[in-house]
Amino acid sequence: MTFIGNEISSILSKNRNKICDSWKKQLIIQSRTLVELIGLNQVEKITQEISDSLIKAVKTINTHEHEDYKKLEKQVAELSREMSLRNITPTETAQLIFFIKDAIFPILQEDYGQNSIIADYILFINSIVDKLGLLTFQIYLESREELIKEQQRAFMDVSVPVVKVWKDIVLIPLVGMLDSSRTQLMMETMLSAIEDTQSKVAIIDISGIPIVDSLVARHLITAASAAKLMGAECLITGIRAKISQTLVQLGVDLSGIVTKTTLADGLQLALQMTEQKLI
Amino acid sequence: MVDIPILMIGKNVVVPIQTELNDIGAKKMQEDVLYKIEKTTASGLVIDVSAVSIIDSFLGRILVDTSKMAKLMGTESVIVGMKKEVVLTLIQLGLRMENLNTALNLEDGLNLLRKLQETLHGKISG
Repeated sequence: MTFIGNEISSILSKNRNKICDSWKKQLIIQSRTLVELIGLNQVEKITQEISDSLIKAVKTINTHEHEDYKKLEKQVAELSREMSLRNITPTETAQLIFFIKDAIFPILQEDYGQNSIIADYILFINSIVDKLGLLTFQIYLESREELIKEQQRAFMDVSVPVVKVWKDIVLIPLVGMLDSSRTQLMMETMLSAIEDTQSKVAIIDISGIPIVDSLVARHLITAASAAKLMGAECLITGIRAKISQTLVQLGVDLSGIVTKTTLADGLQLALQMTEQKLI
Repeated sequence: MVDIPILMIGKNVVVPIQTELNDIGAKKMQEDVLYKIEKTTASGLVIDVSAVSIIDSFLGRILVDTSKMAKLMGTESVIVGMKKEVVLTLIQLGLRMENLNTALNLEDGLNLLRKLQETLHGKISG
């Protein structure tokens, strides 16, 4: 079989505007939400750029210099990244690319008018196979996401241990990043522990939290006031020099909460507060 | 409407709220408690909310206000036995209820009152 890239490329470049136009139209008809999401101007830009690159790439794809094709690949990769950042599903992005076929095939068919029936057949099968391909893709993705969610759940289960370290004293050692959902979970487990054990002091140890920003600080204040409302005192330990520096620079006011540098200090204070002595 | 029992233990008024309170009930509770303090010149007030599973912003404010009012009459007060769910709702509502004395249970509440009264006495005599 002789290389047909040149021929196709010349046909396509003759009809370049027509391809861009009908591709755009296809997109507007078949994936309206996508077009609405990224805007008509952006769609126009994408169709034009990729059509141009494709026309160039088709010409050289069978020779040793793949540079044009590499450029096309790069463009599509960039587009995919952008789409995923905008929370557009990979299926939709793939469809966006696939619709160029609907723009190109009629033009090729027009050129080889005599074989139009075969072209029709190919087109027909093609659209079905495309859909199947997309389906496998989507299912794979869904199962991966399911796995990630499950792991997140598993992590959540072990993420907030509450330890009763002494009579009337519970300890919550925190490790890793503290976000809103974890704070919520932490508060719930802490309050249940206080309720169940009727502990008078709760120590939250943040030595394992790498960065304490204003958001984390706010979460900690919330947790402390929750413990206070129940009638327990809340100590925060593990405030290192770096953390205290950032907190003051951020203007976070922790003055209502008792804080200590080390857990040992905190424990000692807690023992004093509950009028207990180590023998 | 059920009347909220108001008891005396030593020199302290103890209010165990055993039912869910609506706005009117809460207002009435506040009035009754303050009259009781006036009549008995009690030195402490304990409001036990361990049986209450819903504290909305209104009831929350009533509790804070009652405690402030009692303070004006020279009576220290403590809210005891707040449930976990109640605390979470209050926090979500943004009600921190600062300046409110709280304790885990009635016993702790009475102990806290004793301590508060002692420090007060210490201030006066010292």
